[in-house]
Amino acid sequence: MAERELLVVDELRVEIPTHGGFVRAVRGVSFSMEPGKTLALVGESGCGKSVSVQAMLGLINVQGLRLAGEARFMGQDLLAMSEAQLNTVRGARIGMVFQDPLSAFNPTRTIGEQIAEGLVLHKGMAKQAALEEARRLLDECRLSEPARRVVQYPFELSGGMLQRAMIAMALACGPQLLIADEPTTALDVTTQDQILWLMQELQRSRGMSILLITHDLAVVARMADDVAVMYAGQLVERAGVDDLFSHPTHPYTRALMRATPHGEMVRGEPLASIEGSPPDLFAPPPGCGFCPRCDHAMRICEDRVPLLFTSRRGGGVSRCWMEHPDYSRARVVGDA
Amino acid sequence: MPESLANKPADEKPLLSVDGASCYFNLGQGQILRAVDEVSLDIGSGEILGLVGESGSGKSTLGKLIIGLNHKSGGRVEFEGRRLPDHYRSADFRAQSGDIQMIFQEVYSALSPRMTAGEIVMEGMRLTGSDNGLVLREKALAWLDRVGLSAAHMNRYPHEFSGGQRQRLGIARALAMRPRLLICDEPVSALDVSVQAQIVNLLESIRREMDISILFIAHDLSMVRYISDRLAVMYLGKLVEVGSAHQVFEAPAHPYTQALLASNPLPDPALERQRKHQPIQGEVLAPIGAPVGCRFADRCPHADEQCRQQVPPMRPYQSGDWLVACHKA
Repeated sequence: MAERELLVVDELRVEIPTHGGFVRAVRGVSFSMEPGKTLALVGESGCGKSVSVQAMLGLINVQGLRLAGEARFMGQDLLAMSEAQLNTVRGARIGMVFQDPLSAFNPTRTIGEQIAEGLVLHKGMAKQAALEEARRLLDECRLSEPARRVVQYPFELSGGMLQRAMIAMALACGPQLLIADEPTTALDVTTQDQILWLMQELQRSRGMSILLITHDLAVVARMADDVAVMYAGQLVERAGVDDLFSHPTHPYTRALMRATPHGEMVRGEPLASIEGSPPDLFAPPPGCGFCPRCDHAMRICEDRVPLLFTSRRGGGVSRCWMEHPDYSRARVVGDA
Repeated sequence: MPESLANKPADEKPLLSVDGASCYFNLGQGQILRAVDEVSLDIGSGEILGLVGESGSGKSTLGKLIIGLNHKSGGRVEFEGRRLPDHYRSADFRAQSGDIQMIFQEVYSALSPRMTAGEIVMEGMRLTGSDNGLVLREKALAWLDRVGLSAAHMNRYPHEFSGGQRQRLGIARALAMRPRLLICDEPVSALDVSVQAQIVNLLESIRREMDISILFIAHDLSMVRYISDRLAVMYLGKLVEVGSAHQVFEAPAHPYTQALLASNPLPDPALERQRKHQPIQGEVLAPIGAPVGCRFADRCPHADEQCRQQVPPMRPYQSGDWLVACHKA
């Protein structure tokens, strides 16, 4: 109960029923978050990063959904909560920001009403006081002319302004955790810059934790304290941000970094692409999910899923047989 | 240094020359949206020109204007010294299909869902050439093979492909017409990082092999820096800076280019921690009506009266092929 961590996700499994059978979208993911820190969940489409979080918050409404594992938020397991209990957490102690702000707002109600709704519901504020608080929140999120925005409808605001409004809505009840799912992916780079800056500033002033879901390693480098890399429904590497970027350990993380262009690259030097595609999650392979695309794959990689070993370099963990304590010894013996 | 590619002999005629081209849209009630406003630009033979700007800057509109999918409200576009029409009829498209081709960001909506990959690649060749069915099939197969698809994909429909494969199909369709200029409108924005690299490498190798020019329109600055010989930056319908990609990225001259590059996050936590700048303030507005001064003046930290009164012309900056539209540069 007296956990230091704000959020502990333990062996989370999500299987989604479809016409073709169950998609093993999340296959045993574990991570934890400390108060006041930012954890980035990184990976490409279909790796399970968004599904993990949506499942945790009870946002996947599918008949026959299979959930297993635990997600303890401030000591309480979110997966074991009833809908009513979840409603006291979502939007109150956990705020959420999504990729597409326009579809996250109700188009028929004003920005102010939608922010005030949470305050009335969770904090028992009177309507007028809640609207005034909404104006203050919009101001805190640096939205220009907050008093006018309160009475405007979502379509009247630009993408960047709406994203600020959504952050204001997420912050309304003073959450300990802000979950941001690709918050800047739909935005232009200068607007992205403003929004990332705002999130960092709000984190400092409010001391909340941020769980950032993104595919963009540059955004990770900017925002994160800790990073969890996901591939094919599993966490393949977890490390502090400096360790991850200076000593990426898992072959997938390394490949992802080589495929990302950076400033010092010489013109004409080919980008390292990752050939092939991720495995079919209807029937996940028995071994490492990355092994068909991996340059270092060994026989054991096809047969058995590696554990999360402590990385030999850097301070993180990596789901790769090459990090097994006996691996380098075995290789030395083999070479001799 | 990589600049050797950027410096073309000065006497070489550009492949494509855009001269003061505009594309206006009438919004009604006397409002005119100047999506592209008197833009001049050359693309050399075998060159990759990166065109960057934010949403609403007019970069896609310019690309479509060049190929004829948007009308021209003014100015002219010349391809190998030949003037392209202001308003296109279908015969015009057919006549120029061997010169200019385009690939799109939303490639799924650019491919007919009722045609197989083979039919999609063959269609252009069938309409413009005289090859019979068997030869067409052979050629289509060769193009699919060239972009990394195979004979097994010939009879599949677009919905059976992944995003990256679909973009490859779009490239094969364009290349089958043997164009001299390929306009790529955000070709990798919708793709995953690992697949982006596959497509960009493919474009780069095609450029070398077929000696085609590429107009690479994108908002991902790191990718544009990586692929481009020269770079053009647009803001609200106007070009603000054109120069070799190396020069512009190393020492951007226009305040907007500076702000754009400064806001681009880098995949390096140590560098990111040193980041001190305040993000650029304000929002991108719509370029409605004739500009009074510099379109960027209200967001620019260096703007003064002159910037608010006079539209800055494109002027040479340092070297001859580096142009900047700023009173203060």
